[in-house]
Amino acid sequence: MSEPVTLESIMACFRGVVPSSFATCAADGTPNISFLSLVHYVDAGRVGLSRQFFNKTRVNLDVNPFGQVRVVDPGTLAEFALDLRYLHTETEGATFDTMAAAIEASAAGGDMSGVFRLRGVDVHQVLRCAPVGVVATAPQAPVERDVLGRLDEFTRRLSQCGDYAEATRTALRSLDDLFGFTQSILLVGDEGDGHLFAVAGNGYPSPAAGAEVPLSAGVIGMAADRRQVVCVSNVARGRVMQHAMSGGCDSGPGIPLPALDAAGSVAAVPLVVQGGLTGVLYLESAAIGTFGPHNERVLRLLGGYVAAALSGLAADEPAREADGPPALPAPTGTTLRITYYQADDSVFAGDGYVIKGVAGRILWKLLGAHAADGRTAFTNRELRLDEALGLPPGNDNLEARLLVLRKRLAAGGHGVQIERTGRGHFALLVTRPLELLEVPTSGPMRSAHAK
Amino acid sequence: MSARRDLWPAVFGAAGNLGGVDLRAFLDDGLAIIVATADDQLHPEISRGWGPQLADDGESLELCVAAAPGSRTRVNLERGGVIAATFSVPTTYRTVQLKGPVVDVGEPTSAQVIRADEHLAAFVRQVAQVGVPPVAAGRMREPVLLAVRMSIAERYEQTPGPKAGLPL
Repeated sequence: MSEPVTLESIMACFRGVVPSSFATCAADGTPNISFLSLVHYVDAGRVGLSRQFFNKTRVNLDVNPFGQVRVVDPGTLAEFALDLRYLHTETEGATFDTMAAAIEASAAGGDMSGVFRLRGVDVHQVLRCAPVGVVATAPQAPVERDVLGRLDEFTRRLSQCGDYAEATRTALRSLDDLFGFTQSILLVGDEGDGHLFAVAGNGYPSPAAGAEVPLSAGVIGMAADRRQVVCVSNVARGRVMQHAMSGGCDSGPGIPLPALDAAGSVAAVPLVVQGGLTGVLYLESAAIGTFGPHNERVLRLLGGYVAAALSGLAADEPAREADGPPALPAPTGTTLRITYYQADDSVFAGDGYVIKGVAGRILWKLLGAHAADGRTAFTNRELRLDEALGLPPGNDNLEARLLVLRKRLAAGGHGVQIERTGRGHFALLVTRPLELLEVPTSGPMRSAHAK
Repeated sequence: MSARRDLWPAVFGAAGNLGGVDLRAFLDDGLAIIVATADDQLHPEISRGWGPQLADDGESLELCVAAAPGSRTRVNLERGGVIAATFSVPTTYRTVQLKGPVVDVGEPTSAQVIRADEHLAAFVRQVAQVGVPPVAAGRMREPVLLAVRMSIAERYEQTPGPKAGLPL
């Protein structure tokens, strides 16, 4: 019989990539086998088994608490047998929520999301955990082994960032080169408007800034709703998670959320500050098993650092004199018509979509002030005090909205740009003549513009 | 894929009746076979099965079970009792479960070992379709097998889903 190993040494088995077989035994000695989509690591001595359909298992456990589950390391295909003793069933709480999110995420997008609903988590004591067979591969060292050093470097880099844009760029690049999370999108927003919007992306050929995701969509919405890290270790097995992502996204005109053609594994990490949701960090990997229980804690820590760093930078008010806006020659060239639609606060430069929502209102305000008296210097503070803009009190994500606006204007090359001139200060730079056209609406969507 | 689906009722019968059907055709599908035994303290033990062969009358089944010397599976099988075995198509998870008493146990004949190896080869081809490397899949057959003949007393649908556990 093989020597026992610790649960921590086989964390890869708990990613839900390969289904697990679970044996129980009736009072008359007749065994029963069922299959589990997920075996969850609870702690060093316990696992949680998803209770979804297996009625015979339920009956057996009621009369005989002993069971055995076989889990598989998706990387090596090494198998491990866990002798179990049933303790109790949980239908709420942290373990249940985590497993429910993982199972729902796996089923989302297919036609089985209702069928694969988690009914409970059977928590079992692990009596023994041992590799199966003479060719069993030695357990791999825990993946999180040297994670402290990388977390330390990650926080050091973030702490060096002097402004919001630099922090978003540094965070996503550091996720890539320190942790190997090569595709990432940072989304922010508030719970009030039901959407998150992408501020920055890394590892995609197309820009992410400005893409919107409804809070109800896919793993991103699930992470936001539950305030929990949601990992899908095996997207293919999870019935094409991508469908839920792309199919459920209201990307707005012209800004689709970037996505890998064939993601193998995805994770969504909620960004929470003082109990409030400020955004979601979305990660994709082409490889199966990149995200899962083995690095869920790391993801949660990373999300915490990112949320705190961005929150600190966004909250800063002007602390010193700003540089004056750069001197620009008088606008020249052909006149550009800028159209603002009150209906959804969308702004178009010529025929090209620029931005909508709160950021659209901000842009329209800046352009109006510039047209009225040639003004180019602005502050965050005056935007926050302008009730017509409808910025939510407290967490207004103003820095994030300005960053998205800045990126969208820069990418459009329309001759209108925003440039940061100091903490809490920025300038509107216009290099060609503008014609501003506002298209009013009188419908119910005008409530935000009653003033 | 459609060929496999068509094969299912041909193997198990529209009502799940195994009677008179040649499991050789079924083996070509490289099913994943999980076997469970139990000791007299009702502790279950999982193992893998290879090279199943249905008796002509459809009432019993022979298969090789991974059972290293001194393993709990070997001890359980040698003491008799009841075993359960699931047969799953790796690419679809379509699964049935058979249960019944152990009728006979012994060292496998060369023919049974050959059948187990043929099954392993088909299994490797099958799981390669879901991304399992052949070398790794090939290691899943443990070297020491025990030949077991079980009487088929119970048949269940076991495909993950709401019908799992229903009698066939």
